[in-house]
Amino acid sequence: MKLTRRDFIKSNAIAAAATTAGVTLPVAKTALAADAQEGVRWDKAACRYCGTGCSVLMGVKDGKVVASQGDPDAPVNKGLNCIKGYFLPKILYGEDRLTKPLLRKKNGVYDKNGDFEPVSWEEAFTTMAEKWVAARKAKGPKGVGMFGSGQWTVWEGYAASKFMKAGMRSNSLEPNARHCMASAVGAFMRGFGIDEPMGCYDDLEHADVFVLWGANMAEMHPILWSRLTDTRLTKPGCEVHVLSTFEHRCFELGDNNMVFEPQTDLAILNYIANYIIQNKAYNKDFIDKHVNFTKTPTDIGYGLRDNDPREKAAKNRNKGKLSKISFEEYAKSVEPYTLEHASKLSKVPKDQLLRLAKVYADPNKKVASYWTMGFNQHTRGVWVNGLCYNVHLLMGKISEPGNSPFSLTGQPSACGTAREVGTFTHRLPADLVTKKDAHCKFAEKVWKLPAGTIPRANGKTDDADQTDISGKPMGKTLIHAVAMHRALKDGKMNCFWVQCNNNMQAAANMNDESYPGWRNPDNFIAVTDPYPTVSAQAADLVLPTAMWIEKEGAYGNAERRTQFWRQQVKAPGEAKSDVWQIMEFSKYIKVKDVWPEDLIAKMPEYADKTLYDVLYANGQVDKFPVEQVTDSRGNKYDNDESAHFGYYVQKGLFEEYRLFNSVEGIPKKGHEMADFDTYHKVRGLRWPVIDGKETLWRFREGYDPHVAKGSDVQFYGKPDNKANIITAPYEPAAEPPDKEYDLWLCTGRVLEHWHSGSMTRRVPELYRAVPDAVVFMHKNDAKKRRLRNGAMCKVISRRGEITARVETRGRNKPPEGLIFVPWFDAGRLINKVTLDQTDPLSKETDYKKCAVKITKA
Amino acid sequence: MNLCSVVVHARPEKISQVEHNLAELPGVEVHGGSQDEGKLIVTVEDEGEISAADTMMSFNSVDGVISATLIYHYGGDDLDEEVIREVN
Repeated sequence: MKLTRRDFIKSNAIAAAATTAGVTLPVAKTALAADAQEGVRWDKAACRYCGTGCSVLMGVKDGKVVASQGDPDAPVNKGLNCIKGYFLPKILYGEDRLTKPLLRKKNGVYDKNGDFEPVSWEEAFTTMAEKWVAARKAKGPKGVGMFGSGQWTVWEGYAASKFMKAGMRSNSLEPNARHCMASAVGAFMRGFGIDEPMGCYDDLEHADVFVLWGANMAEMHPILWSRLTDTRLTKPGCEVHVLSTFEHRCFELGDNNMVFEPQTDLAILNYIANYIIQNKAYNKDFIDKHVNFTKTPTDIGYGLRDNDPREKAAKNRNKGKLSKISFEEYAKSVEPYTLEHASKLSKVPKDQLLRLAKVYADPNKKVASYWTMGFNQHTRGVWVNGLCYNVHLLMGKISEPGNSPFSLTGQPSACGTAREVGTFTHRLPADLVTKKDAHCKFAEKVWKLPAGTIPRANGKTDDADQTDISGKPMGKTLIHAVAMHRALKDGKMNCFWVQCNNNMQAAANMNDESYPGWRNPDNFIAVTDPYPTVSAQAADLVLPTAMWIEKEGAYGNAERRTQFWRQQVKAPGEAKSDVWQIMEFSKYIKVKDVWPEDLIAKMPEYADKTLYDVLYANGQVDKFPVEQVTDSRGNKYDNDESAHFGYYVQKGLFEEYRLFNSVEGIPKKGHEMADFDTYHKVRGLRWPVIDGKETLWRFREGYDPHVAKGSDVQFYGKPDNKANIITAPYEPAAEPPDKEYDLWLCTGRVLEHWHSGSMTRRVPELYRAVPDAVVFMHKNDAKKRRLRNGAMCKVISRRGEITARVETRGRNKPPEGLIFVPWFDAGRLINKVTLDQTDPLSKETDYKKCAVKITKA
Repeated sequence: MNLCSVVVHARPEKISQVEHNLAELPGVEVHGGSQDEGKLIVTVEDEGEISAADTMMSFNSVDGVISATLIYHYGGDDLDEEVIREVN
């Protein structure tokens, strides 16, 4: 019999699928499987895309990725892989990969209006350093800014945080996670005093009821959806409730599908709380022992510019300080949210809301709630996250198998990097914050830097002003993502470095803020990316990067799982990883360029050093010698960063990071991690990791070693070990539809493209499947405007317009009065249309609600 | 050249219809499954101009399919090479 490689590969593919699904097939189907792998080196990697954190096996042959497989040993995905996994190898090999630094030049020198020309890394960094030093001196700590990513590896985020906060002495560091997870973080900190979910993915098998709040898991988290589906179809009595502002693919499985009016999730959650209280279903023992009741200021504005009339009208603009109330006062605050009131506001039929309230109120039903951008990209995002915790806390349905309020993440390391390392303007590693002098001092000690180096939020240390390189007091130093684009436009920030995200396309209100900011003649914009994205094209300097498995990396997923991978292949041309770029660039800036004399006087030995010397060649980061990376089967791997810098870069950065979260005497316990070498051997571990053991459910005795014996539950992020129930009312959206702009616009993602499509749109099959963003709308709304399915239409807001095709029969089915437009399409930039409204507390943009009108194109 | 295996999750009551509809798609073979749990083991290959990915993405629009999850993907150029090996 003549056999081709196809026979072996197919046999192996079938065997892998059958094993994963737990299905038995005839032996003939899988007989050749064992011999299929000749010449292919297999190794694990955490998936590049969403926050689920699947592990994939990557097959490399002759230096190129040729095959991939869902990792059967991975607890997260148990051998499964979503459709985007198919494209993991392909995203490395797009035809337009950038391979050389590109600088805008005219007549041989840098010119903002010049064309891109290839330059050496040295010319790129020399030009950039000159601009950075000048802007830092002239404009203070906000004169320079860096915008990173929840797709940064852990050590890239760590190196960036150190570079900006300690080196440049600037808190102008933000991740794109600001657009994605900031509201979730705000609610964790207010409610529990420590970030990230208490439960884990094991809840997908333990829960009796699943409730989706503004999460289209079927398309955005397909592997978790597949685990949920398994439970729904095999566990007697299991039910799925889906809430959304439009019908999507999760409705296929849903038992109680509810389409609600945008913003009224606030009212629905308060109704559920009211129902629980009215029926005395709450867990009195639990709330007596483990919960404080509080209220938050109301009428807080919408995070718009100061001169916006909506901001002027707000009574408690940006306020969020909690004050204690009694249980009775809390009960009274939710009393107006009757079934009738909630149903009227939300337009969800009463019997459906009642059915939902009953499952939460039933002490014998374990409920897992999931949400993503529906809650987070919300001008009341922190509130609405909190209202969901309120419901779980009232019932004590939290921190145990199956009872789980769970904030899903959109990016692979929004948790591991943006949140845990702390690449936000106000944060430092391991939940420390720049507004606390003591936290900054601790960080300075770990980093072997003089006290007072890190800019405090208020610019003061020991109650005295910190001096700046300009000679002036440091002043207030915090600046969030949306404010950065405004500062660029206003010329207050002159240098901006974007890594690992496509912020020109992603940030709201591109016409009025982002684009004018980037193209402001006074500004110098650098973008690090593997591809010529919209952002790269709008920049002045483009730096080509090594992506994903072209470098050694680590991600932290939504269930607190830290996962490592080895460098599998080489980056093309002169492309260098983000961590290489940050560290190498720091060699071009001298300490005395950015630190004032009085600070240097505290450590005069640093006077003539570069930022690289004091930040990375500090005896800690450069502590571990280069070693040949080898797996347990004897396979060998490159590590290009270590080869360049002369020490094991990733290990040094990670072990220094652990001085913040895993040693005696740290300010905040609960983030403990295992040592570097362990993570290369395991399929990730969920922190806190104590004595080598991971933690599945936090705050609950028996599961979490930080909880004292006999106390049952301790929310130890708070000093009194109690969580906060925080009451907050329904308040209307910033820009509801009116007579002229008569439709809600909701934006979001589709399965085939990940975020702005900078990777996935380079894969021909994905591009063909969903080439252009369309306008999903109700057929009656189309008819009223004399539009047929497939016709071109204009989507117009007060800020801008796009032209796109009408889709009335697609997988997303909006109700009358709402349209849905995906935002992956660089040819149809929906963010010209969206409003740059933010949650005043979290500063996260609300991309889900603004008013538009539709006309024929 | 692309060759993939996929686990398709379908409503158990619709599984035979789903199996039939999937098998009609280009490059698709259904190798078995579990009716009770609504699972099918499927392989997909490029067929002419239609790539395996194009086909997989159309799975979600087959009535009764709840999810389709990729398990294994091979993308090398050597699928048609003869492999000389002792097969027992």
